[in-house]
Formats: sequence, structure tokens, C-alpha cells
Amino acid sequence: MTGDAKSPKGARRGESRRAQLIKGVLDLALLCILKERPHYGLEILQRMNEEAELDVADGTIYPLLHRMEASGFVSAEWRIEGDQARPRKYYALTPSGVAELKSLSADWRTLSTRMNALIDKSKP
Amino acid sequence: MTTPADHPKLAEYARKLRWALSALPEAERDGIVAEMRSHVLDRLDAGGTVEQALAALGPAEDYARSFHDAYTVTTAISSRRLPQLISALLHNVARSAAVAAAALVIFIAWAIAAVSVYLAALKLSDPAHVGLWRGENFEFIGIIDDPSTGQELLGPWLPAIALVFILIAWGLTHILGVWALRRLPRQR
Repeated sequence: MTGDAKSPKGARRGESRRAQLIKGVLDLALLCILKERPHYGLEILQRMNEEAELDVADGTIYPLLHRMEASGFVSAEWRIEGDQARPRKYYALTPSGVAELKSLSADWRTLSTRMNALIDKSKP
Repeated sequence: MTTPADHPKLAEYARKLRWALSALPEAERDGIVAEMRSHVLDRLDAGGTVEQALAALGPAEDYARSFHDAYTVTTAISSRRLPQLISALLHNVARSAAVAAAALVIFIAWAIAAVSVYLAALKLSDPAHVGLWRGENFEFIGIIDDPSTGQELLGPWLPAIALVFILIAWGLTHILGVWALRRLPRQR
């Protein structure tokens, strides 16, 4: 069985491929979201899944945030905002994060332009 | 009355997570557990249940492992200390061809450095028999039984050469180690 896109096996392969593609853009998506303003974890997750439809699992976002924090691209602090009942950990972009966002955005644009051109050429 | 924050399943998950994170510094561990609790309570505010929120995070051991891996690698890269770099490389050798290749080159460099240090130490204790020897039918670095059958080419330079090999191995560990660890794919 070759597993075409309509079969369950094909669908699973499609999901796996999509998951691999998404992994590569999570850093960029995170930095884009934090560029607007500081966010807490669930807010970031909801924006990634609702706006960008990245289908990110809850257990993925916090290790990613910690890695970005350890790399110096984001900073974090616990605080209570507005009428919140309890503190939340807010993540904000650092100057290094802004530079990283610029670099990743340029890479993404170049890559997507080239890939789109390649896909267009392959059309029958 | 039991509040969501005291939910037994949340407490059990927090205990398992803390245990699975035991290799991390305490402050790091506390922060991860506190953030997990905060996330679950946010999920409850959004209308979910504790069970659903914990299921979405995945098993505590797997969740902890992703922090542990990220912490090991980022600490190694940011500290650039030899033990951390080597430990991170060895832990991730099966995950990336770049890490495997870097680990192999670094291993060979350190093996050469170790042999040269051993020979340098022997040279200090037995200068007449240790060195780079060349005779009519042989050329080798090591210990010769009869020094009159060959000519020693390195003289007193063996310890200095050992030092150079150590510096090369040290430099390769830093440059290749950081390069390879930065190319590690994420697991989750």
C-alpha cells in the first residue's frame, strides 16, 4: 500500500509532514507574536493555533519559550496584569530577539519565494 | 473545599514533573512547575478540566525531558564549558548526523592529545628512550629499547607538542561542539 493522501495512512503521513514543517517555523511565529507586546504562555499558544493554525501542542510551547529565554531572545517575568486573580509569566522580546526576528523573517521570505517559484514550475 | 489549584491530579502531575526535572537546578525546576500550574489554571478559566489540561501537556516524564534536553543544550552552548559541551554532545549523538560527526572528530582529537600527554609524561621520566625515532628501517613515536639504533627527532619538544594537541582538541570541542549543538532538531 502506497498510502495516498485520502487513506488513513496517507493522512497520517500528511500530518507528520505538516508537523515537521511547522517545527521549523515555530521560532519565527513566536518572535512575531512577542514583537507586538509581552504575552503569557496560553495566549501565545492560542494565537499560534487560532491565527496561524499551527496546531501547536500545549506541551511544546513552554520548552520552546525556555529555550528562547536561555538563548537570550526573550525575557520573562511573573506579574499580575489588570484584573487577573493570579500572577502569570509574561514573555517579551529582547533586543537580541528583535535581531533574530529580522534574520529569521529574511530567511523565511527568501525560502518561501524560492519554494513558490519551484512549486509554480512543477505545475502541469 | 478543594480549589482547582489543590486538585489531586494536578498535585500528582506536579510531583512527577518535579521528580523528572531533578537534574535541573532548583530555581529552574520551581519555575517550570509553577508555570505548568499557571497554565493548567488558565485552561480551567477557559472552560477545560484539569484532566484535559494535563493530557494536553503529555506525560510528566516526556514534558520534563523536553525541558531537560533544551536546558542541557542551551547551557552547554551559553557556558561553552568543556564538560557541559561533551555531555550535551554525548546525550544527543543519536539525534543528529552533525552531532555524531562532531563527537567523532572531537573524540579522535582528544585521543591524540591523551597519547601525546602520556608520551610527554614518559619523556620527562625517561628522556633517553622516549621520542620520535628514526632509524634505517623504522620511524615511530614512542619508546625505543636501544636508543643507539636510531635518532631522536623531537628533542625536548614533546611536552610542547602535547600542549598543542590539547589546545587543538580544546578548540575543536568548542567550535565543533557549539556548531553541532546549534543544529540539533527540536524533539517536541
